[in-house]
Amino acid sequence: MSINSLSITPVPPGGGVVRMLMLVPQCHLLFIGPVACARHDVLSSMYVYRDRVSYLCLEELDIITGNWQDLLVQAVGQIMDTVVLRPEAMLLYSGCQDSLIGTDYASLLTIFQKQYGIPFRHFAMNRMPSPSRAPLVHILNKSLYDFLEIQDEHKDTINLLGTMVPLALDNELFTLLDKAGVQDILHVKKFQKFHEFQNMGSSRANLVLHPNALLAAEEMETRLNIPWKFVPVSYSIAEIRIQYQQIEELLGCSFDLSRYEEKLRYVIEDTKKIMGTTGLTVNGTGVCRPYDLARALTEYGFRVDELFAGPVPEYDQAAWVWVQKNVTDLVIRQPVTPAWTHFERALIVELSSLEGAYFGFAAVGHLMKVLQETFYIAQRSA
Amino acid sequence: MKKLWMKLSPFTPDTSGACSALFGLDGLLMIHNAQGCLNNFRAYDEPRWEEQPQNYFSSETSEMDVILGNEGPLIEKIMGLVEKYSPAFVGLLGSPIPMLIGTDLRGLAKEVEEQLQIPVISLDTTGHQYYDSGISIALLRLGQSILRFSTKTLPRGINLLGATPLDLGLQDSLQDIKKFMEINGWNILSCWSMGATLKELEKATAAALNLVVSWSGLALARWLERTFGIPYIVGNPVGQMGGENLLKLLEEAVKTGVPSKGGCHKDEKLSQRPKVLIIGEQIGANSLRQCLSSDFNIEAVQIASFFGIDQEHMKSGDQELAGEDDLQSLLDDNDYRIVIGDPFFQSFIKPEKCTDFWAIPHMPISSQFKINQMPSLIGKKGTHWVHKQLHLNTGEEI
Repeated sequence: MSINSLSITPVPPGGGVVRMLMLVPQCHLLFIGPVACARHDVLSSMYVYRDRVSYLCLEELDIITGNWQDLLVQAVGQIMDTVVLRPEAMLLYSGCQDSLIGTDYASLLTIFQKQYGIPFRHFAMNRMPSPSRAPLVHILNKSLYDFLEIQDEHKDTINLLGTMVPLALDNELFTLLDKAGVQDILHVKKFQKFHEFQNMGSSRANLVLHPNALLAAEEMETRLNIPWKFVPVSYSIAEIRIQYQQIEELLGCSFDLSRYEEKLRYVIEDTKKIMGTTGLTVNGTGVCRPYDLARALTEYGFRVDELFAGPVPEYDQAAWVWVQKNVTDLVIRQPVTPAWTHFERALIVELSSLEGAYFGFAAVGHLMKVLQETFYIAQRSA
Repeated sequence: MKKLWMKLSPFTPDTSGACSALFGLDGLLMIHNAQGCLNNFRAYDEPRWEEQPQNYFSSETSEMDVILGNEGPLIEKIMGLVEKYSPAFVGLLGSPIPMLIGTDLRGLAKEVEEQLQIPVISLDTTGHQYYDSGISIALLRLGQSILRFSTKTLPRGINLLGATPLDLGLQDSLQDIKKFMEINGWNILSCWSMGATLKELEKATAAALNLVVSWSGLALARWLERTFGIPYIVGNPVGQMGGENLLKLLEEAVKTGVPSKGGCHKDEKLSQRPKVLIIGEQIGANSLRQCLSSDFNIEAVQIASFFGIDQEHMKSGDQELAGEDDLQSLLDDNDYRIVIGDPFFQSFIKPEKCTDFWAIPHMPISSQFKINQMPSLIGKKGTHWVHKQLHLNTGEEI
C-alpha cells in the first residue's frame, strides 16, 4: 500500500441535543411533545442517560384542549417521586407545536421551583425556520448555562465555552493562566455535582472556543457580569499569537509564548520530514475554521489536495481569501457529496471531538502528533 | 401515568410509517413540517434508507408561513421537485404543525394535482400517532388513488397487505411468506408495502384473495372487500401447523368468497390464567399464539400491544397498552412463565418473577439496534424457533 494521501477529519461530533443538555450534572431532561418529535434524540441517548431522560408523549387533544399542562404537572411529580437519584435540576424541553401556542413557561417554572426546591429551566426546540431567531445550537448552548445563578463575587477561574470536552491537561493554556494567577480553567464536563457546576457562575471571564456558545457568553455577560472573548480554535501560529493577546487584554496579564512556539516549530519540521510529499484531504465539517486549517497546513509546507467545507463563516473569511489566492489547485467540496465515500478508502487522521480538548499551540502540536501516528500506522500496513 | 415514558423511547411515529409504506414506489414525498420529522425515518425507522435513499423531502415551513397560513412556498417547492425528479406520484404528509393549525391537506393535494399530471395523495398523518396508523393511512390512500376494477380475476392470485419491514424485518420473513404461498399454489400479485413496484400494485384488483399480514393492512383489505369484493384472510403462516391452518382458511375463503377472521375470535376466552404474554403487533402476535397452540399445545397465551388492536381479531384478555405503566402493571399483576417481545421490554420484568424472556426485536420499539436478531417465524422456522427457546430457556414443557 503506497501512502499517497491522508485525510484529516474530526471524530464525528455525535453531539445531539440530549448529549449536550446532559452536560449539566444531575439534571433531568423532560421532553414534552408528540411522539414524532424526539424519537431520534431519545433513542440515541437512552443507553447512556436512561435514568435522566423522560418523555411526556402528548396526543392531539392534549395540545388542543390545553390539558397537557395538567399532564406536565403530574409528570414532573412522578419523576421527582420515582427516579432513584433525585434530580438536582430539571430541564423542560418542548418542540415546535409548543412554540406556536405560546405557553407561559415562566410561571410554570416558578411553580415547579417553589414546589420541588430545585431549579427548573425551559429549552424550546423550535425548528420552524425564522430569520429573527438565533440558531438552535446557540440556544442549546445557552440553555446549559441558564442554570448558573449569580454569585456574590468573582473568583480567579476562567470558563471554557462551546465545546463538548474539557481541555487536555497538557495544554499550555493551563501553565500560562496559572502563571497569570488564574486558579483553574472550568468546563461544564468536569463537574459531577450540580452545586459544583455553579462555580462557573463566579468565574472572572469566559473563553469561547466555538461560535455555538456566543449567545451563551453574551447572556452570561449580561446576567452574571462575566466578560468574554471569542477565540475559535486556530491552527495558524500567527493567529494563535493574536488570540493570546486578546486573552492578555481580557485578563490584564502578559504571556511568554516563545518557548511553546519554538518547540512547535521543531515538531512541525519533524512531521514534514516524516510525511514527505504525502497529500492531505481535510474534512472541515467538524472543524471550527476549516480554511484556517488548510491555510496553516499549507503555510507549514504540507500539501493539501482536498477540503470538505460548507459556507464560510465570518471568522474564517480571511483564511478563505488566502486559500483562494494561494492554493489554486485545492479541490474544495461541499460536505454532502458522494465524494464522502473517499473517507472509506483513505486513511483518516482524527482530531478531537469538536476540537474541545486542544487550544493554541497545543492544538497544532496535537494535529502534528496524530499526523505522524497515522502515517506510521499506514507505513506498517503497507 | 400513562403518557410519561421513563424507560422506553417514543415509538416510530405515523409520519415514518407512511414514508415506509410508500418506499420504493418511485413517488416523491413531502412532509409538511418545520424541520426534523424525516430524521426519525432516515436514521432510526427505515432499514432500507441507507442502501436506497428516496425522494423524500421536508417543506421546512417557516414560522411566518405557519402563522400567516401561507402555503405558496410549499406548493412551489413541490412543483420544483416534481420537475426535477419526475416522480410517479406525490405524497403530501401532515405533521404536528399542520395538525395544530388545521391545514387542509386534501385541498392542498387537489390544488397541486390540478397543476401536475400525476396523482397527488394527501396523508393525514399528525406525528401524534404510531407507525401502524401511518402505514394504514398510506396504503389505503395509495390504493384509493391507483386501483381500478380488473376485467379478470386470477383464481389463485393473492395480495399481501401490510407486509412492512417495520413488523417483518428486512427480508427473511417476507421472502419466507412469499415462498410459502408460492409453494402452496398461490400467485402473489402484489405486496403492500415492501418489494413491489407501483405497476405490480396496480394489478391488485385481479386477485381472488387478500392476505393481511399486519394490522396496517386491515383498512386497505376492508376497502378492497367493500369496493372490489375481494375477501381477505388475516394472519401469518407462523409455525408448521399455523401455516397449514392458514392455508385451509385461504382455500375455504377462495371457495366460498366469505372472509374469515383468521382463526382468532373475540369470544374465545382463555381457559386458564395466562402463562405466556406476547407484546407486539397484533396480527403477528396472533399468528405466533396460533403456533404455540397448534404446534406446542400452549393455550394460555395473552397478547398486549402498544399499537393498533382490532376488535375482531382479539381474544378476551388481550390488552391494549397505553403506556409504560400499563405494561408494568400487567407484568406485575400476572405470573407469566414466558414473555415474548422486543428486548427493550425485558427491563420491565422484575427478577423475582422468574419469567423467561424470548426476544423478538421490533423496529418501531428498538429501531435498527437489534434488527439483525429478528427471526423469521414463517412455517417450520417458527416451530423451530419456539422449540429452541423452550429448550434453551426452560428445558421443560410448560
